[in-house]
Amino acid sequence: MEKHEYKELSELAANGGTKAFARLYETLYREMYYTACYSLSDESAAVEAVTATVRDCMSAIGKLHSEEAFRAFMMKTLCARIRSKFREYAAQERDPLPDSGGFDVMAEFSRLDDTERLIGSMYIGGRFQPDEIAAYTGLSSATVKKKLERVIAGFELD
Amino acid sequence: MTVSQIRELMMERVVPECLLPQNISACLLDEYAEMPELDAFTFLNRLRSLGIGSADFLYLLKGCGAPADAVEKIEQHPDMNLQSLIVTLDGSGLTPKDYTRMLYVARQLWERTITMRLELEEEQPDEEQPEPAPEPLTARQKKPEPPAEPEKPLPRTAKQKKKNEQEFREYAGVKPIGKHDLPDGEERDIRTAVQLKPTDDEELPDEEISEPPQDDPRGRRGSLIACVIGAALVCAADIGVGMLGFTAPEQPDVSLRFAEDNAGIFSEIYKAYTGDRIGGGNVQSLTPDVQVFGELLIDSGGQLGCFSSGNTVWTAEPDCVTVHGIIGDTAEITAQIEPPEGAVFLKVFRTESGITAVFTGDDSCGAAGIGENGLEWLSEQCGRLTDVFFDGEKVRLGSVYTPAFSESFTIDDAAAYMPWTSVSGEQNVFQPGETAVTGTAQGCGYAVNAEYSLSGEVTERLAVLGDPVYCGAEFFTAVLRQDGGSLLVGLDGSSELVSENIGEVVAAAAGNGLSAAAGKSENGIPVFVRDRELNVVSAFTAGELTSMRFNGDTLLLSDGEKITMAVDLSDPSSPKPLSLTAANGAVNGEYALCTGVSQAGISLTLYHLEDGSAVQADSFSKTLTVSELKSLQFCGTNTMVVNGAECCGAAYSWFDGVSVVSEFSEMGRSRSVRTLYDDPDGYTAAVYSDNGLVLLCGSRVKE
Repeated sequence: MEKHEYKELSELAANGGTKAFARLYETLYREMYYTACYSLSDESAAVEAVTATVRDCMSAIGKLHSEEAFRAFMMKTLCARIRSKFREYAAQERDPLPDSGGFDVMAEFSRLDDTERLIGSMYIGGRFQPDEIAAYTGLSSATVKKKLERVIAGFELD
Repeated sequence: MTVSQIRELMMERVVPECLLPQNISACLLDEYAEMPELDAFTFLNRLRSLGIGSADFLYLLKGCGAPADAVEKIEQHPDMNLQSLIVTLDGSGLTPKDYTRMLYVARQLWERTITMRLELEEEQPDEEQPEPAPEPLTARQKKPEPPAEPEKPLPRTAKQKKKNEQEFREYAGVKPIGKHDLPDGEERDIRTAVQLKPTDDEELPDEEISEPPQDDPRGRRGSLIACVIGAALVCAADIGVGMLGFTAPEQPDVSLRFAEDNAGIFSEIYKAYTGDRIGGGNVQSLTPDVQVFGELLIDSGGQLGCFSSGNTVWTAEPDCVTVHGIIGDTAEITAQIEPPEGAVFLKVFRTESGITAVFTGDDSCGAAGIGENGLEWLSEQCGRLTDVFFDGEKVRLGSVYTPAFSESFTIDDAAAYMPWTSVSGEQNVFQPGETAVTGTAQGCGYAVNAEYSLSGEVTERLAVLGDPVYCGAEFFTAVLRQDGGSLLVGLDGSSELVSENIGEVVAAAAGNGLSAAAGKSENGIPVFVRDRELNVVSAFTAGELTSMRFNGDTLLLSDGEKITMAVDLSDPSSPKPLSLTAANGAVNGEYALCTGVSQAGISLTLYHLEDGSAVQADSFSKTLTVSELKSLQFCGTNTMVVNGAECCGAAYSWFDGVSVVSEFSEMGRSRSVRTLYDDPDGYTAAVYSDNGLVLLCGSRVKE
């Protein structure tokens, strides 16, 4: 997206222009959904997380002066919300999803630990690069790469 | 299965309709359409639950802008029952939004009014006394803590067995020399001095009784502010090595070396103890935590800073570090980390994965790594902190430790008489090869220097046995009292132990590859600056002082809580006294933001460091009345943002006669003043993050 286009849309969105906001959201919604869905292993929780993130972003859009800042804000907020869900899940002691017989991606993801699942979802589903993942999650690049290696190795072994 | 194959499988899942861009507007509109439903009945019930009486209720209705006719009707019918009141309010045209706003404001105003009244009542009797510094008048004001009682050092909890006690006595040559008749009819052996430490019910030796109470760093900070304000200019000094008359007394040579085994250390402790030389009675206190910034001496006050990374914000105060997770307009407290019992946090450093907080108590000190989820590691070392060093990759601490010797012990009970470090609660005593001995130890204490990685591992540690008064942090340097003078000990550039007999030392410091020791002489207090090999590089004369510390190239000298002198040692061979102006504020790299109060109001001044001078880069001022200034309070370092010329600002609050007003003034690329009235928290933290300025009011994030 061109800089001036982003500026125009973000200004409209900051003044309540939901259609303008939707145009900006369009650039990222798939990545957000797949990240949330496979991190949380729960479609309704993913919808909830993405929706809440969108609302947060709508109220902050006036302060996000570039598309990069917009993407970063969206993904950082989404990661924070996913982590918040992780904490809820930890209290509930949820079991991994049952094996459906064939290769079920979500079930495979649910066997990873929380951080691996988040990083794996962002990398595979969201197509984010490790440096971007590090920036959005607040983890060090080394940690992200290490976790990513484990995730990929785990899938390849299967 | 490859990543691409997994990705293809993942993409088979269809994005739900409600998340498609064309439908996301509905989700946004729904959110905005959601208004809390608050009717007159709920509103009145909530007011009643706050315990608001009819007089206050009317006052609040008027103050909150309720329609005049409704207020008038209620005023004219003081006996109006609840049902009539509901009907009156319902017919007044007030909307649920009005009720919400009124309830919120009413609650805050009422709380604050009550708080103000109580505080004013408390202050009345003291009016005739000299007026102290203005007291903060917000709900955040903490209750005054009762004065801390002087604490007795806690006995060590080393487990010694009866047979070992006998073993120690035999080893140390201790024999019973008589019997005590105890009131209960029992008899107790009277032994020689190596029974080490009297029990609680026995009389303490004079040395311990006369020991001053341990300093409380929080108390130090409080008095520091008052002292530094009074000491606007730091005095100059005479320079001259040859005229100082500071000569070391004749002392026996010491043979400084690392111990070969525990026996070497044990026997020195035994000799010192039987000679009634315990040591540890005169540990140098920490120099006030101020920073030299050009010609300014900046005191950041009681708070330790506010830091951010992504959606995480850390706020640090001496008694607690709080981790907040920012989600939209909510700041959820994800962790609160307190220092170990009896300790306080002194300094906090930003690291790649979070923050590292240094703490000290009377018996131990250490560092804690705090990430976005809370405490990640905690490492400690024995003794009271005398110096801190942080270079971005490691933390080094210097401390002075004197074992309590609460029970007798054998040579095998190393934990009872050796220094220690601990990582995650697992204590590890020093090895003989890590402990230097002089052969003529004048005490049973240790100067302890340890280095910690940013994951908490102890990467290096050294100690020296004797009667230490100071241990440096940046590199191993210690000052021990020795035969009427002092012994300066260190590791030179080749990591070889070096020592120098010097006169009686009043204070010492180490940093920048230099050490400084201030002694006593008839012609004032000479301060000698030495290199790592302990060769004297320069010297100068100072006034009264009790402690010293390096701050970059500057050596700060203090007398109690007051900085009395600052000396530029950028050229160590040519010390230059600095003339500094005291200020309150916060420093971040090349920028500092200072707060000021005058009769006309308040000011914020941003300084930029240019060629070693603080040059004003921006400023903000606000006029307040005399009565408003009385209640003015800057909210502290944690609510100050110093991010170069991009963004800076500070929060403050005052009582304007009706409400408590909290403001954050932003300078930099954009300028604004954000004001809150009767906010329950006011601004509690401010930080500049990747997403711009983040202002916290308790658990809320303010736009």
